[in-house]
Amino acid sequence: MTLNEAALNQRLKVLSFSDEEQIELNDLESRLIHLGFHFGSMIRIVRRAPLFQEPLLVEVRGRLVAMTLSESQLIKVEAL
Amino acid sequence: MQKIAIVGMPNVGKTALFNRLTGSFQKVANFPGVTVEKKSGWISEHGNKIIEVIDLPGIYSLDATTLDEKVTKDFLMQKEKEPLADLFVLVLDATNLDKSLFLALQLKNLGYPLVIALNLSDEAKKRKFKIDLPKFAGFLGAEVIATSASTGEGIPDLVLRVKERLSTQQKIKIQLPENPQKTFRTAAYVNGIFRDIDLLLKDVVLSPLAPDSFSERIDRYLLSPVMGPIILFAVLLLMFQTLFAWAQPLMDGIEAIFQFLGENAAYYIDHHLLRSFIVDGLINGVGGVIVFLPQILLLFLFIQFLEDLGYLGRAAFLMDSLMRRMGLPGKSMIPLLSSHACAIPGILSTRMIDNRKERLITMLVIPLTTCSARLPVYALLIGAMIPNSSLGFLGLKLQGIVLFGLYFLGFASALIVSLILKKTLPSASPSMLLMELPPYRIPKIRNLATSLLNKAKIFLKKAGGTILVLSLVIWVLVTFPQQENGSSIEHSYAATLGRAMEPVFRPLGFDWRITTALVPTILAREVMVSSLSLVLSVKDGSKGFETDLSKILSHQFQLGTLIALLIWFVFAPQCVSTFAVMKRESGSYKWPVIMVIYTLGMAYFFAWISRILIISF
Repeated sequence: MTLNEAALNQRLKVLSFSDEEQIELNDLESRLIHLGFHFGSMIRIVRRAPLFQEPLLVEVRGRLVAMTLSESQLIKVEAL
Repeated sequence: MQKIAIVGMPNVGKTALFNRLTGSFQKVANFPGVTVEKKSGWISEHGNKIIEVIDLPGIYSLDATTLDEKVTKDFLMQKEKEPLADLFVLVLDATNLDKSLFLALQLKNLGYPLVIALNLSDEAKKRKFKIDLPKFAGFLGAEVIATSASTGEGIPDLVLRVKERLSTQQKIKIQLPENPQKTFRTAAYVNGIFRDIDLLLKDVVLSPLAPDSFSERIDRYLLSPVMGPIILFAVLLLMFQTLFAWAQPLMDGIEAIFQFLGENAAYYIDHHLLRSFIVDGLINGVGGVIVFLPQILLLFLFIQFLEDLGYLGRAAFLMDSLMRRMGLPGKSMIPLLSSHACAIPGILSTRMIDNRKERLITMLVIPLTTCSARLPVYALLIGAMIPNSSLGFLGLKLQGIVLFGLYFLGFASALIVSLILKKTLPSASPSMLLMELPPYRIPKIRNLATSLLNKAKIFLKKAGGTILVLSLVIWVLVTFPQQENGSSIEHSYAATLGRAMEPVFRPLGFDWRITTALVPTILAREVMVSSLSLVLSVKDGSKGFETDLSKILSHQFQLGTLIALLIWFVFAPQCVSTFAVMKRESGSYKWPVIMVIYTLGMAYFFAWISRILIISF
């Protein structure tokens, strides 16, 4: 599943980014990876913003990262 | 002489370390990106310079994109594959180790000769962070010295190790891959390094950083579904109130000072033309620049405070989805709201929007929001058209409803234009929210003061000159040519210009008196009140002057004309200060010119339509 489909506070592991054929990372993916979303990283959705249920607030390596719904759809995860 | 270079990610204390090593006093600040070009100094011994030290701008990785990052990247990745320094002092942040380590492993893998300064060690110790230093050093193949650049702890040790390494080390070749730019960007490469970081950390960290549960607890309130938006609303309301009400006494004070200066100058200068130049041109012009400072400084005090506190990113988080549906990022809410006081601080504050296209859009639509300079004009025209009566049992004032309608019209048109611009302007980079929310911190007064001083300097230096020159041009237009009995606006160049423009504005019902009065309004919209009174020969400043002016307007002009004039002021004209600041902030004349053309176009079109509607009913 992609990150946006996960439940709040579920422990998740990053598997890959959605466009797997691409070998080179685009700007968004590169920024994601440097914020800690490398493959194998452990994350969880801490909360969703009121009203539209997005953006999402994601905890990764002890940091909080805010991202829009479409940005979260880029990240493939599995629940642990 | 042998050379060493200091590298590391932004905001880990490289410059402070450089100052410690070389005994110099480079400016250090508590935010990333202070160093934008490389600087050099020397480590001295008994008054002799023995080692050259180069301080490089911070980078996160060798895959650098921004301009100041490129300085460092070019220094590190020479074509000759021979490093420009004999040794690199890599500065790591002990409180943020996993983030610092990417560059460390990248450099280590490529074979750079390194000595590692584990900086901020004192702070890490406070947060119970403990790591196995010898093991860590073994992993990185380099000596690791725990330092604190702010207290000086560990610095002598660092210098000692550097000297040791330099005396024994031989020339080293760097092993760059075939196409480094491409390689550093592949998912496999980046993931590989992060995997190594995870392994390393698991092995050497004896006791992890105490988690920041404080921020988490505060977020439970500030980001909660009900409380979060309410608190945000209160914060924005406070900002609005600050700009509208609390800036006013300061602005009145500045105006009073310049009026006092003007009156005194007028008293001492006999020659009427010179007097007019000094008083109406120069003193008025300078005053017209300075008067913006209270609002600019108050807004930035507010923004910087929220930023340092850690709330600004959270405000963007709360507003993002709502604003994005209207074509703008969450961060544009603050510029748009503050523009209701004045467009100048609003445009300056668009700097916090990272995406260039979104920043431009926000800047371009800001002039459509109802700034406070429009209020005197609205009051005058509404007074001339709308009876001062209440509406039924609710007790709502009819005039108030119209005023609210004008605010709404301004804001709605700003949103519509931004949607159109979003579709039409090309974008260089994708629109992102993606950002780290920092932990909450108590803002430091020193930091706030530095930032405010900077903002004031930028405004006065870069925009002040343009505003002053243009106000002198306007002074020439309304003062010349000189008549025998002094100057009068009917015979001025402004009136000549007004008469020349009359045919163009006839469809809107504007005659030469209105077009002449419009000329000086490009200085500031509220000038309309005094320039209209000059043209219509109503004595300014007398008792009941504004109601008199309203009455004369309603007698001398048709309703359609007055409505058209009111609508004209919703969209145009833009004051020269807005133009000057937008030129400065967008970096070219292109964008302010586009802004002026499209707002004039809208003003003309909607004024024309509304007059036709009024006439045909």
